[in-house]
Amino acid sequence: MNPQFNLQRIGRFIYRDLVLLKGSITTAASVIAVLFFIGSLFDLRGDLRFSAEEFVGMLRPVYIIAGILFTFAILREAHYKKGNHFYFSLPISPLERILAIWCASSLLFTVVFTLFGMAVGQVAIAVASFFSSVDFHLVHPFTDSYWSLIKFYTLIQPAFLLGAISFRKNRIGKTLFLVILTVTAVFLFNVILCFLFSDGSFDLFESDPFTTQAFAQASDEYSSLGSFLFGFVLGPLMLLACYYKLIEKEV
Amino acid sequence: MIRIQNLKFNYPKGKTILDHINLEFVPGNIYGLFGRNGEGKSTLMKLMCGLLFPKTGSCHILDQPTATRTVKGLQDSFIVPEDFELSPLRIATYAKVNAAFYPKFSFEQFLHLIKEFHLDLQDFIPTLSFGQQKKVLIAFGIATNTKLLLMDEPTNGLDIPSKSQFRKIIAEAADEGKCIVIATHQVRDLHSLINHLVILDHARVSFDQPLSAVSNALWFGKPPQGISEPILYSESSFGGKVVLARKERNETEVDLELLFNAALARPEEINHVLKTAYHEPAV
Repeated sequence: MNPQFNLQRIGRFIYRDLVLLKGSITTAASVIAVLFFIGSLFDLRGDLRFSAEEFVGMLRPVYIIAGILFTFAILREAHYKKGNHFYFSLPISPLERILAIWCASSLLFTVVFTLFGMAVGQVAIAVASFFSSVDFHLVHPFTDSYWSLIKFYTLIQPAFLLGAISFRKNRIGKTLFLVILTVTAVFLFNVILCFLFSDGSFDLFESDPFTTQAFAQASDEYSSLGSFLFGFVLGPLMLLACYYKLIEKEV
Repeated sequence: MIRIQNLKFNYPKGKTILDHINLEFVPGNIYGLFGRNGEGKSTLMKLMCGLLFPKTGSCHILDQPTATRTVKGLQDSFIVPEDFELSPLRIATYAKVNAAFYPKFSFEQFLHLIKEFHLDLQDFIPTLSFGQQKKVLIAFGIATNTKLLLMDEPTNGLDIPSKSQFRKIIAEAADEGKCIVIATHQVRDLHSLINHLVILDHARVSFDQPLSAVSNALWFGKPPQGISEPILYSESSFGGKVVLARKERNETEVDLELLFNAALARPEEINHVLKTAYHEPAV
């Protein structure tokens, strides 16, 4: 057995985090359940069906926000002056620690959140079928837009994870600020690239509504490269940065 | 067990707290780590368990650098800090979720210590006083059965009966394979518990001796009549007690408080006497 990497220890660490956050998770789950339930009932109006697109539309904002908040909550102990000595002296290697945090806040969170959303949606359908002319049907979330949502979360989550590890105070605000700065920088970079690659013929600053056209062209011509860079390079790089941040972290 | 070589440390933008520290802590001893406020006792403890990293020099636990926080190294050390807050769980749940990381953790021992401290496994930690929370952490630390147990001001917040209870528990927990380091200002609380004393002063180690060597070389008490030899240290507030080179006198109990003050006031003289002392057993 490798003393520095052990799956059982990762499992124990995830379990520990979940037990410590049990109260917050229960409160958040209750609020989200009510929101989902009401949202699902609203979606059942009109065509009397809760479509996959409607489900993803309802899931999207809550999933992203809850995921980011959960990511910050899971690392709260690391910054708490009166508790981080215990957190960092627990016998678990930095690699195990970062994998446990990522698994809990990304993989496990996504699976549980989806199943939770489906369950609440299903209850809403069942309740509605009792009291109205809605026919009982199953929720099917696994559409393209669902997978796009998961991809988007998986891409941005490591950035928030890095912020949650790096900043001691105002962690969410500082991370959001940096993310907005980065997105703005990438946007400007894309516009400049688009302008250069089209030999300057792209009328960015004259009559054309440049944002729409520039984005259309960028996504048509460079989307695969962009997906690769952001999905397969930036995300793992962020996780690597998180790993080194954890190694360097002192109390 | 723990080897510290040429260690230097300062906090960002702060003055040097520890400078050229060379120490070795070996199993089978209970060390008392003394020093004035701000002399770096807590910092040294954090360096010893990898919570802080040396600026220069090194600190090794069982031949592994503490700064790398290896699983093996962390499984062999536990720290009870001075100021802390435990997770808002029941004592039993707290033990369950954290004990899994310590291969030698003994639930029986933990339960025994919790009972000894008049606590209950079903107690909800946030409802306990600071002193009671400290007892939970001390009990947990002992039950981990790590080779190195570091305790920073462990008796702070404990009531008077609990302090003697603490001494009893530590004396029971100490064995040949364990190294216990206790940093404190409350020297009287450690009376008859420690067997090795380390004193930090002006960022350096000013005293590092086993108490057996101290009682062999130094004499503590009221000054004998007509004394002609030089007094190493005296203090009127201790009822006129002095520290003398023991020479042919009978062995006295080490007065930790007097020794601490003497080692701070006259470090060269005290260390010189300890280095050069040799005695025939007193008749």
